Amino acid sequence: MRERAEDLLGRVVSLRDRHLSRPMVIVVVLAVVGLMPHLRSISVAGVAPLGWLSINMLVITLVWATAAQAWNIMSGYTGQFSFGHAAFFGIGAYATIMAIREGGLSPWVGMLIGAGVAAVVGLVVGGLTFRYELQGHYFALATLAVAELLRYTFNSVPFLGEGSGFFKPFPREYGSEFGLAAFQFQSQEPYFYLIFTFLVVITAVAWVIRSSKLGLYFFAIRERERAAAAVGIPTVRYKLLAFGVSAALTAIPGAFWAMYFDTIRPDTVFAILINVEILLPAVVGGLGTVVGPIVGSFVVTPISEYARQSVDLHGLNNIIYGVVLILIVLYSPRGVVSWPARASDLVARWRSPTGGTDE
Amino acid sequence: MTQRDGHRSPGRRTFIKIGGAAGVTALAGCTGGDGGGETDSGATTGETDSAPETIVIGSNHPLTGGLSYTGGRMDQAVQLAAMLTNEAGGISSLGGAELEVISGDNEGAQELGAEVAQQLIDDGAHVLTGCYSSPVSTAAARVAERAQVPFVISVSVANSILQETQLNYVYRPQPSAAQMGIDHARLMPQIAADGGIDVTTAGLYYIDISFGQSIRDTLREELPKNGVEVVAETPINFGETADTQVTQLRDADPDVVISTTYNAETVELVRAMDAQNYAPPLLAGCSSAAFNDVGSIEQMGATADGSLATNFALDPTDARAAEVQSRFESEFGEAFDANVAMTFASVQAIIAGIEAAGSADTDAINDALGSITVEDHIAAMPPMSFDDRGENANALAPLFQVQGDNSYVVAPEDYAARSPTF
Amino acid sequence: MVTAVTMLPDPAILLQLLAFGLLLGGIYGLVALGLTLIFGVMDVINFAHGAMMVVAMYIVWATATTFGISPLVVIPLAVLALFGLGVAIHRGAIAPIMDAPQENQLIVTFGVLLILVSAVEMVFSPDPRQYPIELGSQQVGSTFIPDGQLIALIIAIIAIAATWGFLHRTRLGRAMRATADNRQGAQYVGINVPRIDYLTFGLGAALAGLAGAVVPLFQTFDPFIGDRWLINAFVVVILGGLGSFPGALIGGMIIGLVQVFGLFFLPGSFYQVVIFGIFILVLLLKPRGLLGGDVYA
Repeated sequence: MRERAEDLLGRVVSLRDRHLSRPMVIVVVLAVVGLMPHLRSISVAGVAPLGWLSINMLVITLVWATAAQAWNIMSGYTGQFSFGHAAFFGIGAYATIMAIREGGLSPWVGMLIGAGVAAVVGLVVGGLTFRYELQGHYFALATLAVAELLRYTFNSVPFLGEGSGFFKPFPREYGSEFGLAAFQFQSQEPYFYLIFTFLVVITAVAWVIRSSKLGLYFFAIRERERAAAAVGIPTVRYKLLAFGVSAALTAIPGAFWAMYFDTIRPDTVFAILINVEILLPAVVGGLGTVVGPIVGSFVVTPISEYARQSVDLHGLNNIIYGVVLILIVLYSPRGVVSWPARASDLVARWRSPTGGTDE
Repeated sequence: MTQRDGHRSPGRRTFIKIGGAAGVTALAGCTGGDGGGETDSGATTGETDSAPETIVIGSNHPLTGGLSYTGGRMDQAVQLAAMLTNEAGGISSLGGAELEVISGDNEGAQELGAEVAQQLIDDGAHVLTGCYSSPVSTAAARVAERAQVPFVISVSVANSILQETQLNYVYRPQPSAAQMGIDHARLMPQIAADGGIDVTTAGLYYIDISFGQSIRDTLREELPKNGVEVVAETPINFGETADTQVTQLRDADPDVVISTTYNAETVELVRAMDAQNYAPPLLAGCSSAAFNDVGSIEQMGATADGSLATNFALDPTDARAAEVQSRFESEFGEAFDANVAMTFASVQAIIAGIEAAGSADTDAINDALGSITVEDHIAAMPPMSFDDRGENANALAPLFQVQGDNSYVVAPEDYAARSPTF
Repeated sequence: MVTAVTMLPDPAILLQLLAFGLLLGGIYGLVALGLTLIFGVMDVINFAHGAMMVVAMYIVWATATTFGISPLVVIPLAVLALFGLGVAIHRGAIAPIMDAPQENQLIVTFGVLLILVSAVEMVFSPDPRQYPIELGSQQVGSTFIPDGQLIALIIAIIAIAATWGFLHRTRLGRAMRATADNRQGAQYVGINVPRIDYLTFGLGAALAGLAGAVVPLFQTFDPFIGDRWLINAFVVVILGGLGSFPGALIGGMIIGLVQVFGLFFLPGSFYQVVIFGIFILVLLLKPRGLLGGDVYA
């Protein structure tokens, strides 16, 4: 029994480590991201190659990167594909604002409450779906139903703000001043560094999970759930854990969103599109990797933004974006981060072709 | 005006430079470095020699996506206002300086509201207008406030835009949702009673999003104050038919059905009413664009005849207003409705501010806007005057009636084009 | 303040609600057909389903208004056009990802959705539109039945019967069902599964086209309306059972009745919360749906 467990885990380890998750790579990527505000003002011969990316857009990119990183912990590592993470994003946003409005609490406390509520919701949903052994498409649709259910509920209940949602209160309304303690600033740069900090923290959590025994179990569930259960791994418990952690962490970029923008509504933080925007960077970048969500977000959002800025015919930018998405998925199903590996594979094959050609 | 951020947007930006005499719209696209420092619009404070040759108005509207049906036309209204001003000789206090409109597409998305506003500022806009969707307007307002560029809202209904925050650079000529509800609850029963229709009960039909809910909430409070009891409330969502809603109204049998939706949903209401052979004694609308839209009126047919609708609108007693409408229709071939009229009027406020300022300096324009009274505008309301919150103290939403194939203001009398008939 | 209805309304009203519920149900069934076919046979969730509906709507509208003919006549044309479009999309975007993980499939169909809706918006503008057709309603006692919805219901029933017949009485249809049951097994017995996939996706698109072409008979439309139908269509598909056509009709009826009665008796848009609640319950308790099962019904 034990041998079979180790056998299985051994196979999973080799599968997992094919992915790029070496700490050095993560640190380098994060460093580049952190330097973005400076990189974008670099001018070469009068032209700023990254100048078209505004701070606002960088912030948005990082929001999705952070959310995708959190999503990845469940859907990428354990393979339970959630199409309803907007539920947790929205909970984070609303909890933060409502904690201030209803409880006079600090938005940071609100964020923690949001994370807690999101975790509970995740555990409940997970508890139901895993108990009934919902898999694949069915599980995805169930999560989508939960997200939509929350959206309609928030849109219909006056206490929750209904369609108009809530305005973000001013710092002085909760006994504070602009700055970190108030979770809001008067200019954009501090917001960038704040979301960057969140990204670093959540990335660290993701990396720690992934490199630990827990991560091993997660991947075992993803690759061979039945086998994992057969060798005694408590799959339901670990799937629940992944769901809860992922949900709680997704609430954090939601809370950030509520403090970055001036209003939140069901149409904005619970929108169906948010479900897609959360998972897109992870899938495009590399599902199950640690740098994937980050790199993926820097592919997805800037492409959409660049298309929007440079294309005159309104609507054409969406078509271009759709085409690009399809091409990326068709030609790199394992994500953008697999390109370096595939490139070196290609080079290796070119250098010494197998199958005996004349040399 | 110093350049803001220092970054340029790549490639082309849609540039509508409104030419003078011929009134022909020339679409000029520039590649590479455009906007900002290279154009002529860079008069800084203190420079007294040459007057600037163009003042740039930034138009921030949804040009794609679900709201673009209206957003596109609002953008065209901005262009028309600039075009007509240039034809009439430009800004006289600046020696005939011309107006130039640059347009951005916010796609109705909150994240893009700020983005587009910033880009318009970076591309040289001296004044901004927009955005139609309220979360978008709020985001754009923050950017304008931070950049100290005046922002005159074209259309954005939400009550709280100017009330939650002290914004010194943001103005809203149109009445808020609450104001429209108050005006409707007051005027509609009165005019109906004068015409022999006794309104004591009402059924509310509203689109189940922020603006529909806000007006519903206001009507809930205000109608009883005017002797009308709300006996039914039924919401509609996008892409639905109104059959069940009409059945609900049939069951409640109110004296008046008040619709608060975008165009399509009101048309669906009338269609469902026809299918069920149901018509209340009075059909009404509060901030429902369909009753002011010739195309929608045609689609609704005879059932809509005689309906009373509250909305901000074009002043029918103003000859200039009629000119603007026909010019809009011939220039763009699109329907001229309340949102178009309001947008045009907002740009007129902007133009008045520029004239009064006599300079392209954004602070001068802002100060002017805060202190002037805008008399020359096509909206059916008194001269505009902005209070210290930026709201128009004289904002008004008159009452229309659909008569035949168009709608006409019937109350208050100062702006009435026709008398109500039932 | 008025919220839910507290007393039972009179029978005429209830009867009217019943009529609307069944009519809406039939339409939901029609909308769900293409989705359940592709989902059942190919195990692909076609998120572009709503967008395909929209393409068909505009084809019918454009043809009818340009040539001055009745939209009803043009509907078959749109269905054929959508079949072709479906085959083309399958070739370009779906066939390559048939074996890919579901998140990749999601993104691809989502990309197709973006492209189709944006293209329609660019070509036709986002203005709300109507078919150039005047339809009234029938009156049975004190119950009204709008003609447009009645026609849609009839077409739905015919479409379901026809496709059911195709699937059970033709060789090609049986091959499809076999593929739905067991892809590998089907391959072993000599069925050209890739070719079946083409046919399935094309047929699914054609059915989406039929549904789309029919909706404007009773409703105003614009480029974004497809997505509104899509979500509830998922509910219907799961409720009725993956790949089951009679199931789609029955599931549609149930959802249609829940929507109509829910809207009447519950405050606000709570009926939608109930629909999602049902959705989740069915997923948990009977994910195969009412008529689903190991046998492709």
